[in-house]
Amino acid sequence: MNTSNDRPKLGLYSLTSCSGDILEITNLEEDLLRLLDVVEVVDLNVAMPSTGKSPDIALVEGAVTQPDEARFLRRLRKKAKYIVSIGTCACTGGVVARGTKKRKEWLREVYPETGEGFTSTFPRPVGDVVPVDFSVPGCPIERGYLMHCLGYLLKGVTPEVPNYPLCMECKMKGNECLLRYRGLPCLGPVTRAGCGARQPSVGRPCDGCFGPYEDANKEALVEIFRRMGLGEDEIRMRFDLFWER
Amino acid sequence: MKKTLISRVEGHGSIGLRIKGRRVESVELDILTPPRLFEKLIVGRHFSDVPTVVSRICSICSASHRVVSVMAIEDAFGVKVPQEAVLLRELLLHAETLESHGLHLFLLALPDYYGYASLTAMAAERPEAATLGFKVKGLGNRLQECVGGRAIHQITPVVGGMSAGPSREGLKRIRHEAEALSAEVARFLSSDIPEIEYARLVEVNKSVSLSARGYGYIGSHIVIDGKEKVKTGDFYRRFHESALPPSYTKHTLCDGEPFMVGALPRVLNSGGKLRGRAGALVKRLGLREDRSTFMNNMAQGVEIVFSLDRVAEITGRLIELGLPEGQDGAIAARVRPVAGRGTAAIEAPRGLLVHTYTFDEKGYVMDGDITTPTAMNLADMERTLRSMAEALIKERSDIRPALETLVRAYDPCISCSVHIVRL
Repeated sequence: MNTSNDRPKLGLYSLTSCSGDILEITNLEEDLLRLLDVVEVVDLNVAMPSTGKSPDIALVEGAVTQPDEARFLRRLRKKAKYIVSIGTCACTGGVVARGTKKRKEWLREVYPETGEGFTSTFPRPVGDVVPVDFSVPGCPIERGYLMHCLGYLLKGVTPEVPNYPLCMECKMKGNECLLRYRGLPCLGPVTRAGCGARQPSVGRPCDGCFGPYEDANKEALVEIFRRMGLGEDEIRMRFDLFWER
Repeated sequence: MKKTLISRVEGHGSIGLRIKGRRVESVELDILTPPRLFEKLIVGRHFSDVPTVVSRICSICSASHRVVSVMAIEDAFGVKVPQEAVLLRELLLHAETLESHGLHLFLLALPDYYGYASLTAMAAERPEAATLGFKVKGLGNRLQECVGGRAIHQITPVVGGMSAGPSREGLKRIRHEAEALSAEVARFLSSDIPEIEYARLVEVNKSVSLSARGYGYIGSHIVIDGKEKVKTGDFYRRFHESALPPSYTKHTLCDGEPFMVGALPRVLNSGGKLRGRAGALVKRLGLREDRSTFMNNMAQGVEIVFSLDRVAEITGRLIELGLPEGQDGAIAARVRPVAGRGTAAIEAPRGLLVHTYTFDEKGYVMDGDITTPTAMNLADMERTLRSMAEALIKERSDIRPALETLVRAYDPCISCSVHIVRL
């Protein structure tokens, strides 16, 4: 293994999250060893104390819900060359960024003795606190997609990523269209490709965790949902799992 | 309605210890996890979206959260799930156990046994332990992908059944690997793994687990200390949450006492039902008589062997059944929402996991409650931490490594980051 000190430095940081995106990186298995050959991991805050070295590339997972996390990000911004949001929580706030108005009330109900004193704020994407250089969406992220992006970033180039609908990948796999032939409210037509159409491939409509590609025509899909007989509330909830509010 | 703290995986934890002279005044385990309020996030949502949201509680146990939430909803609506779907769900839970135990036992806990400060130190001198851990974890991940559609935040378990069938080719490959790996792990665990120095200082007070027909992770009754059975639906009658001063973290107690959940309580309560390699291993390690809390790690080893053997068995049966694959392989009963409440429990890798939901007549969530194994173990962790601190404080100045090792033995969701001990 390459242990020289001139390898680019990689930092992995976990904010409020399920840690699934960092876990997905450990699931790279053999590719992980190859990655460790070309980068030096200087931080992995879920499992080891910091080495104190500044990262060239900082991968940040999770939403920002604590004043400490925001302060940490502002310090990180001064040290890191690139900050990359990984996973839907870091990119948009994720599944937990719901219930804007009710949050105070929820805290009191769930933690009656302590909720009042919590410093917790509404989950914000990393980009709301500091400028982010690049976003790798997904709940969780896809190993292959991340490695593809890292390849570009290590050469100092902005990654080229799919800017077309999930339907492209779904068709390439030879799947039956769940929207057209099974009447299921699939978000594939407006969702960025990159996961290989995981959900439709196993019979469940896409929930849109990658978010929209540029110029995705949400209104057209909403109109299709209306014609399928979905109520306005049902349509709103389809976009309310992972999409940015 | 009682609520519980839902801790995230590998979050930050800390042990707070107040010592006066040579006397331990208080012990407090803090899970410094920002609240994410999952029980509230699902209120007002359609039942079909609930498993998708709650599986995001934890990336290591996402399959457990998905499967138990689906089962609680099926309990509320009175859905009878087809046998093949139950078998696929069981297979998914074995896969998750392999991924989770493989990571915890081999990569996080074993360095404590061999006396290494970290995984990297152990991997340099004892590569076989680390390699075996990666193999078990890798197989678990590939099987979760094959059956669940993804290694993290699985897709296929849906209310009524499963949304797709696994690929035959994938099952065949995994079956061969599981057979070979089971023998390899059993051999490794039969070799002499040193005992933890302080293993004799703490033991299990009350062991709580699910009762399955054989040994297993799905069941309809909870067993307390190998004898008493409680219906899953009556969980909230026997298990109560309270905030114990000085900590405000919620503790779950059984008849007012701390209890332990996880691999060791499962083996203590149901280990007699284990046959074959896993059964022989239980005897060899003396696990049915040994109540040391630290034996939880060895019990995880036994479960790795058990799950590998079950995986070989179930994949074999599925290959024979020749179910349709992928999109065409959905197996699901009809689901009609009715107003009411449903509860289900399963054995997640780190112990009993209980979900309860109340729905309106259209199937929208009115209320939810999730009690996680780490929350259940909290009171017991504080109990054993205190007795170990009391025993060790008289003879040594730095008791931090000992306390950290004890917390790790429970395999809490915060295991690898419990390195912040305030004294």
